Amino acid sequence: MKKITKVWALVVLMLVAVDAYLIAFYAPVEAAQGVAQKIFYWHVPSAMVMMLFYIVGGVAGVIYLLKRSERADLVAVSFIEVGFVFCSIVLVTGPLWAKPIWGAWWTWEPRLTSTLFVWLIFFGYFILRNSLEDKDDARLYSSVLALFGCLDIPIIMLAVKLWRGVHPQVLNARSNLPDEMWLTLAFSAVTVFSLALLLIYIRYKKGAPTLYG
Amino acid sequence: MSKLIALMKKEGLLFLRQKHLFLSLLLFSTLVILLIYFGMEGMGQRPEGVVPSVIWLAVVFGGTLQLNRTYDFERDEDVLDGMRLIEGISTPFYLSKLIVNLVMLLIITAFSSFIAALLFDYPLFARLSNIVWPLVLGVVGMGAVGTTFSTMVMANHKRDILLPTIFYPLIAPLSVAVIKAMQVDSMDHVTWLKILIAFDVIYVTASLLVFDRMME
Repeated sequence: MKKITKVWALVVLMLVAVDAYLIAFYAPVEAAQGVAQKIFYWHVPSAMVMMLFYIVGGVAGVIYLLKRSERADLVAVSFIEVGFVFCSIVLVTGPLWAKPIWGAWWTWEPRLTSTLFVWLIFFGYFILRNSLEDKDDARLYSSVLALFGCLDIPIIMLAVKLWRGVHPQVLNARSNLPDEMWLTLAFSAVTVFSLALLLIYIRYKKGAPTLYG
Repeated sequence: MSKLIALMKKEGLLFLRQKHLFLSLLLFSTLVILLIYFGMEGMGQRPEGVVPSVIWLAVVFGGTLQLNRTYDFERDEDVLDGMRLIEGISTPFYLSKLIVNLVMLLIITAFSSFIAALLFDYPLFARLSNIVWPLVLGVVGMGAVGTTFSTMVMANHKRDILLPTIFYPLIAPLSVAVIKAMQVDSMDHVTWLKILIAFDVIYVTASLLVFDRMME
């Protein structure tokens, strides 16, 4: 492991430790939801990372389609893989919060359902890539799938609004959040983004995909 | 345009040669409806709420078989490699495949609607205005994506599993919009239709743009 990676990993580790302290001891316990609300400090930034990384992955896929640049494909794979990790975190932390608050691990709430759709689309990305023996075909077709997946995201978001779910709108509730909660959320966002960027860096440096051919 | 007409003639001839396979697709859609009917027996669901979803499921499952067959003829004898040599063929080629798939999917839709109405005692003609446009727009979106993605898997021996695995998640949001738009008490019928139009425009445009690249 290179020195820069080690230093970066150490910084991220320290950020995670400080963030854990802020979530556990600094941020107050929410009156109505209790301790379960603290899941949001990682759930919300993970959702932001997921969206951003999938879009970057899709754009990199388009660049690959236009220029057939292997570097663009590697960027696309890196962002989509890490985006997938954070999408999985969102899908795990969501039900962990939902069970004590809504009384069920899974409800067919629009935002949950749409996140599951996005997760499945990009799970298909890995399956497609793994199924094609020809490397160029794998790059080409998975770029097309990434493009379609990213094109789906804005319409899904629009449909979620129309579907009228009961998912909390954390970022719209800025004025209602106490300063301690807001500061913790902001620090968690910095921590999660730092971790995500570290993972991107490691994945990109690893070069050609090794997990699936 | 002349290339498109020539390709459409070829597709018409191929269809006539294999029309027995198309009858199998219709039978398969009927079996899907029957299985759903027996699966739901005793649940006491109102037909108005259930039948549009049943029709759409029959279209999706029956349609997947049709979409998987899109390039059956091109797969053999390296036909696709020959097609690649013809200048400016990719758009007419994609459109000819899309049109054939849409016609097939629309026939499956009409047939499935009739069978579902018969089995579930559903007032099909009274509800026609509610279900026609969502189904037609849904079929266009499904056909556009399916035609593009069947290109990717046509040479793959795992295509029977691969196409649904990558195709169903992509059309899942579209399916939600189709079913929501068909609901009798839907207050947002027009808005869901607009979302379906947005899906169709994006899917058809993106498919036309990427197919050219995929044919290179």
